[in-house]
Amino acid sequence: MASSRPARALPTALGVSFLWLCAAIAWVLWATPADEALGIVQKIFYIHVGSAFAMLLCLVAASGAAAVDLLSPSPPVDAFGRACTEVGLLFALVVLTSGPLWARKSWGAWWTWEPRLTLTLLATLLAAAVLAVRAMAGSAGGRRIGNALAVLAGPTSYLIHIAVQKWGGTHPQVIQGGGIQSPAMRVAFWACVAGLLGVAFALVALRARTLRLADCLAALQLDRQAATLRQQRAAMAGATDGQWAVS
Amino acid sequence: MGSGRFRSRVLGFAAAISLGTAGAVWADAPAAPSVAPARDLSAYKEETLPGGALAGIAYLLLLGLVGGYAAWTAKKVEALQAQLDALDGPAGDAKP
Repeated sequence: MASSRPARALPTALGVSFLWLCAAIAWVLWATPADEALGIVQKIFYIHVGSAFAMLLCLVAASGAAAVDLLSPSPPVDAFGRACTEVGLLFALVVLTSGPLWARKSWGAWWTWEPRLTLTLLATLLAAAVLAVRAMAGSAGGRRIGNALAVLAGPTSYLIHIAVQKWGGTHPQVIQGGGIQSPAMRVAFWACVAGLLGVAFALVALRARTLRLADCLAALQLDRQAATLRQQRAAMAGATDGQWAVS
Repeated sequence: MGSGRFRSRVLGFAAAISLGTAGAVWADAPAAPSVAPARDLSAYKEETLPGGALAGIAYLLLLGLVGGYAAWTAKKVEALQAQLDALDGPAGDAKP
């Protein structure tokens, strides 16, 4: 009974966050002014940056969880780490698709091999590799190798964060480089960031719960099979004893 | 024993890569100007999709990807909970 409350609460939290995000997007599309230089395509910025925040937070959390799980294996930590990796990959895909759509208009190219873009692609491939290893390799070995790979997502996220300051490149730095000047744009931007982070946190919690439930179900099914086998054995032993008694 | 050695090797490997990368970054990487040079956007206006279409594609992709994943996860958790409840029921009845 106690488990039904979080089971209802998490989808509700996810629904509320998603509605908030939709409202923030509607606000961005209809109520914020278009950028003078770039025009309407600049509105991609509102979801691109928030998705990048969500991606970096999820990958750093996945890296921390993987390190903890390597040191002292724990199923809840493992489920949390896997959920963070999945949601991090999801938002990385959003970043890698929304960025080029903006870049085509702004830079005249869908993609350039500049430091931040290349590192983001690397982090995305790393997250995909972690999930592929976890899905394909056996339980214990796959878990350790996947965790070892996931640990690397932490330094990669840090390098993404500092890439423009350290190595330059064409990627703009709006937040660190003076921020957004228009108050209407600023409010809409932070509303979008709040919505995206809310959705990301709710997704991580719900996905971690899904993974834990799947583990519990597998353990319970194994228990059932073992109990059935024990019953069959006992029945066979009883039948054999009966035959001996008759003879 | 084997598992502990493997774990310490993996951690050592990850730590070495992390420290090496961080060291390489901070050692002598020159700081570069953070502002990209201004570009002439007029050349690209004719050959690209309209800005509104590009922004629309980005928003649809976001809502499709995140919404689809959220719906799939919510359905999955419901199905698993139902399976667990179904399995748990008879066992719970059997308990004294």
